[in-house]
Amino acid sequence: MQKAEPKGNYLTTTTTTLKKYGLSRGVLLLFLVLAIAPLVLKNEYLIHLLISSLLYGSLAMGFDFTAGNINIVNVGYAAFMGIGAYATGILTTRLGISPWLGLIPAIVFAGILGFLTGLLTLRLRGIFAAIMTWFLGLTLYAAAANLIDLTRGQLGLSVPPLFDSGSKIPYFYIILVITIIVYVLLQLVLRSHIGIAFNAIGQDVDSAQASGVNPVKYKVINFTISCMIAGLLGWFYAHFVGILTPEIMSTKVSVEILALAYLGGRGSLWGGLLAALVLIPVFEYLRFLMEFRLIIYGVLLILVMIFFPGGIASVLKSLGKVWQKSIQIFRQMREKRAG
Amino acid sequence: MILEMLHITKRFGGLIAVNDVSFSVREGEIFGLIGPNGAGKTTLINVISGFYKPEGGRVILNGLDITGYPPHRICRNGISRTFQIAHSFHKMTVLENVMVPTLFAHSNFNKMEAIKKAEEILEFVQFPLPSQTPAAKLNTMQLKRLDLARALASDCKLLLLDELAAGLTPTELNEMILLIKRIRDKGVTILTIEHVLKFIMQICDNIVVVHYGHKICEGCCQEIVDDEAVQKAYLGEKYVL
Repeated sequence: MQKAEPKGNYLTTTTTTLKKYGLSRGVLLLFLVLAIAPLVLKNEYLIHLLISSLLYGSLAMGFDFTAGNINIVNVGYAAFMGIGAYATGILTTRLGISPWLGLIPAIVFAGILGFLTGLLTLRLRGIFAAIMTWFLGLTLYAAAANLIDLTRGQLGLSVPPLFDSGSKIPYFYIILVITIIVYVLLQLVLRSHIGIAFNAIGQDVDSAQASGVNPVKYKVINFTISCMIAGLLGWFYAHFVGILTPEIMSTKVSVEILALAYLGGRGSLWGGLLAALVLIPVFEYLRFLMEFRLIIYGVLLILVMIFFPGGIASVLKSLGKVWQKSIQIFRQMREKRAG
Repeated sequence: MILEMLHITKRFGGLIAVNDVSFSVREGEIFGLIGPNGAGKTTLINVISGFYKPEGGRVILNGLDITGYPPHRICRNGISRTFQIAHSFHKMTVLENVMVPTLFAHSNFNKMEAIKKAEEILEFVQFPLPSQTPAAKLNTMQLKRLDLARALASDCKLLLLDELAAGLTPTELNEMILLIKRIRDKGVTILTIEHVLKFIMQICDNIVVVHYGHKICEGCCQEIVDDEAVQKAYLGEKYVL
């Protein structure tokens, strides 16, 4: 008995350290299941679906980092992913750099643009900042469609793949690693002082300023990080799909990301990932629903906003609380019976 | 003098909200700013705390010209404020609300120290609920107390209170008067806007009266009550202390 004690302590310290990185038991389990999924599934089509889900899930997390914390809805988010995708696409095809090296310009360009957007939206509150990001997205979309010399416009730009073999499994592990990195990075930021500043600004700018928080600094930090993530995912998208059209920068894509993030639960981070993992395969399987996808998202969003403003995340959290409470009651009853 | 306001003018388009107002606040006193609705009192607080930039004049804090500083810098220089309609970070707990200034007004605090400090402040203002209560569940009076706690948590030298006593019951008002005197005894200078005259007359050492953006009177309580211009503009005739 005495020997078992330190082991228990060791275990609890490990779980508390993991929790610092946002890796609660549920999230760890999710990542573990995902990591062994390709070994079990052995079906390229299913793996393709998982890759799409993880890509959109990560985008939803990057989006939620801004929308759920500093309370600015970045309706141009898909355009930032597009910037990353076109940065790597153009550089690999025109200059012939390695697709792996394309990662750096993808993140840097999207990050710089995010930084500038952060500066632009500084003086705007709520809906006005959202409209600003939307127009920016539309402008970037138009640029990608019309700068045909550079992007080949609607004809599409073929981008070299990351791996020569046709298998999707390596891509799956790359996007899984990206997802985990994005999740842990965002959790680390949100759990530090910076995260408190984001929340303060998002909930009440006046009060935050009167408490010594510099909104300029933290808004710009937030936009830069979230857009760098979009750029990183754009890099992956470009080399995974292999062909780039301006469509990935369209508002439709942004709205899909927004829908996933909101259905998942604003400010929860993992909610958007979970929503993507559930909804994207469902839509794929119900192909006849594909055309109505945005309508269904709309209806779901309305229902969630009215009945579950906290999204899937808050529903799961309250279910967890009910579970714990029933366990407690059960234990008390047993003790009573024993006593 | 802890705070000197020199010829402050603030315009909103064609409206002159504050017109060439000067006054100074001595260290350690409770200073009252009164006047009818729309006289420019809150505008003055917004100018001092950096939320508005004045078109003319200077704001001097302890000899340092802070005119045009952004609000967060003014907060770090030792001026905090409460809001007329109490603000809060509604998705945070009471404790987290008070932790924001402890973390950002003096950035050398770590999280544990910030929690300790925030708990001390909540105890000091006698916050009636547990510190883990979500701010969204508070009523107006509790929000006001929380706003006050948040303002105190930045370790200010000068505290600006915007109608803190409005809507309080007589018992609550007496509690608030005691609390404000305790804050003053800690060495914090207080500038307060108030319509509740009982409150103003009981606690203020000096008072400035503004009317339509102009300063019409300055002095101690008795001088204000005796002043004819003030009686006409605000108090009504023959206000007895």
